[in-house]
Amino acid sequence: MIARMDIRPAWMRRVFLLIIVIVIMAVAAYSVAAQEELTFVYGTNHFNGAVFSSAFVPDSVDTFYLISDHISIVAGRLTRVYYWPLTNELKPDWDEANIVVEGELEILENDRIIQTIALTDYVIQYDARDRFGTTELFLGDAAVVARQNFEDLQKQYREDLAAYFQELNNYRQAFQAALAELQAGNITEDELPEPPEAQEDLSLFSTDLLMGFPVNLPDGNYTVQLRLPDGSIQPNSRKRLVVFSPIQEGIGYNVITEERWTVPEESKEANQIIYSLSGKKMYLEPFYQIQFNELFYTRLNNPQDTQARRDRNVWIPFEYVKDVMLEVNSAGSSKQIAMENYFVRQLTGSALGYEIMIHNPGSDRDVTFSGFAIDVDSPEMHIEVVDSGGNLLQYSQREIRVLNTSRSIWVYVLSGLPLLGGVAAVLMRRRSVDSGNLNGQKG
Amino acid sequence: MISQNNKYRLHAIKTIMERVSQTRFWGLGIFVTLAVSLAFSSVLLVNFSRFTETNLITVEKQPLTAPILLSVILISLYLSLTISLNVSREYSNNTIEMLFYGPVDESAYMLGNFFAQLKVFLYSLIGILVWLNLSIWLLNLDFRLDIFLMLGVSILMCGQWVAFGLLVASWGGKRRNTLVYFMLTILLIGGIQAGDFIAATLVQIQSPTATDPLVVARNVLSGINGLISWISPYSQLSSAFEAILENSTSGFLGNLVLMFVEMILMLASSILLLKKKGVRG
Repeated sequence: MIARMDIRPAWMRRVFLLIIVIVIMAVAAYSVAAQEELTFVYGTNHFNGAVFSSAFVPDSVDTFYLISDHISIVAGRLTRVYYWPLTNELKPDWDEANIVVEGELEILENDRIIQTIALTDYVIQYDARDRFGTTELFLGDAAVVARQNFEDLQKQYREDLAAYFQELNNYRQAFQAALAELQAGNITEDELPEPPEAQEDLSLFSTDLLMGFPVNLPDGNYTVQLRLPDGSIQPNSRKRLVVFSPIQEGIGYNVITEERWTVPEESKEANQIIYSLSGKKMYLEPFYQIQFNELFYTRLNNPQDTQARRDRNVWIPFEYVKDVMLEVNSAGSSKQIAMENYFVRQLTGSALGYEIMIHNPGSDRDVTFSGFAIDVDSPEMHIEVVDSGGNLLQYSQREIRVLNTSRSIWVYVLSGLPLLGGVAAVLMRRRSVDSGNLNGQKG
Repeated sequence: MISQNNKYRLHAIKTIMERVSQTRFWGLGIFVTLAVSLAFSSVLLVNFSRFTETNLITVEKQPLTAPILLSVILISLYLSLTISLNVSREYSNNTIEMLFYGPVDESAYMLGNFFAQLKVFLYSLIGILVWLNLSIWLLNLDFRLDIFLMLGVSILMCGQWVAFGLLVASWGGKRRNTLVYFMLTILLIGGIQAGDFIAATLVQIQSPTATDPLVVARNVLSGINGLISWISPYSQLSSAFEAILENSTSGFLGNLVLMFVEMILMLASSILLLKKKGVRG
């Protein structure tokens, strides 16, 4: 074998070396190309009217949207972007590359720089038990402190959890021993050991310590661009930014009946009428909602959207309303209904159905929903929500009407009435012709 | 002061209007059309009632919107077709030529016919209003003033249709041509709008950015429909109804202006075309 290798001609060795060099260069070139494939994109962690959402602004999108007079985060990133044919969208592969592009974000209005925003640390935190009431954005040093606080709480939680499991283990052993003593008749049931108190879950949620540009602008049309530390503008970073505000706030309702518990109707506008049947019981679950322009709001959350319309508005539900009363006016009488907690139970047996019952505070079952029960016993009722101070909540007024479905057949009969007019017209015409009085003139 | 010529013209308009409108009222046609349109509207209204019965709850702004839309469109179409055939018949029989020897000129003739159909439509609206009120009372619907606005704006829509009918008549001349032009235009515009509706319904988009093999067809139809919606009286009327329900004053007024301008343009075009072609076609 060695002899055979030795007799390999020199030109073959050179070709072999050349192939190795070419392969190494190709691999290196591929690596550089792969690096170059990274695309500049914007990512947002934006205020959506109540909490923070995120959106991806690829190179192909030239405009993105933010809500006015609230801080939203805009971040410039280098990432690999791929096309996802199922949804016809460009998507970022953050796991492969998520490189923060340093620099300053410039906000321009009419081609004049009106703000320069520095790259800042930020953290978003909220308590999962009350996301709408506790969501908070921390910036700069406060973000570092908030993140550290979260990590401390996490560490404490893990330690407490380990201690709890240790106590639980000890309890189980003690319980087994006590159980044997109880069976032997040495102790009474009262002397059995008590289990340790369960560890409460850590409900605080926190993002990592992230970097971005906090943007807080009034309504308007702007341009943004990212200026790099060397003074140049990051290619593809110049985009249009539309900043808009909500149109109005109001109260919407989920309208629920026992039979249709899983598919409630929604009433989002004050001029909508809730039609129902006589003798029915309905439950109204009120929620806060905010009205936005459909195009602006949809593209705030998905800048690649192509369906939303500029000439329409949309109500976005946020949080359920608590601690309020429902005022019901019907046939000259007025009454207030208190909000109750309800539990929904699926009927047992082969028949389908649900039962809505008042939630027992002592029960270990969770509350299914909180709302108002209304007996539809009047042809026309007007409702509105008032707070604990008796103040009317804006756009909470609705009208409830009982539809007389049994009379609907008469609507067809009414549509035949013009035929009677037609027959009368023909008869009148004949009479006029017979008497020679066509056009109302004596012939 | 009204000049003598205009005085004669006004008189001619009034005479033609009385004559044509009386012809409509003496016949069964308008009454049958009104009854048929109300029967179709009843189907929609009863459907709403049945839906509430099975669904137990319905949340709706104005359940009478679709019935009103359907009935006023059917009556307007009838009035448009009859005036078109009426004028083209006068062409075919050469009676229009005899009329023009007298004090009648092109504008008096067209305006007389136009206002005659509007008068018939106004009377029909009274019939629709009676039916609406009785239905409201029967079903315990909510009586709202927005139905007056809807009926009011439909007068402009009827004006557009009648002006269209006159334009087609002066364009087609003879009766057969007029009928063909009228039907073809209606089928073309209606077909595109129906096609757009069907394609939009067929394309089941899970995500707002999703693709579907029918998306291209839908986008093409939607693009054409977008253009047609600027001229289609049906689109303008339904947009105006939507604006009424959304309390959008600008949207309502915008549609009103669009409908009025289109009506005037078609009416003026029909008069000019008649002048250009002459009474012998």
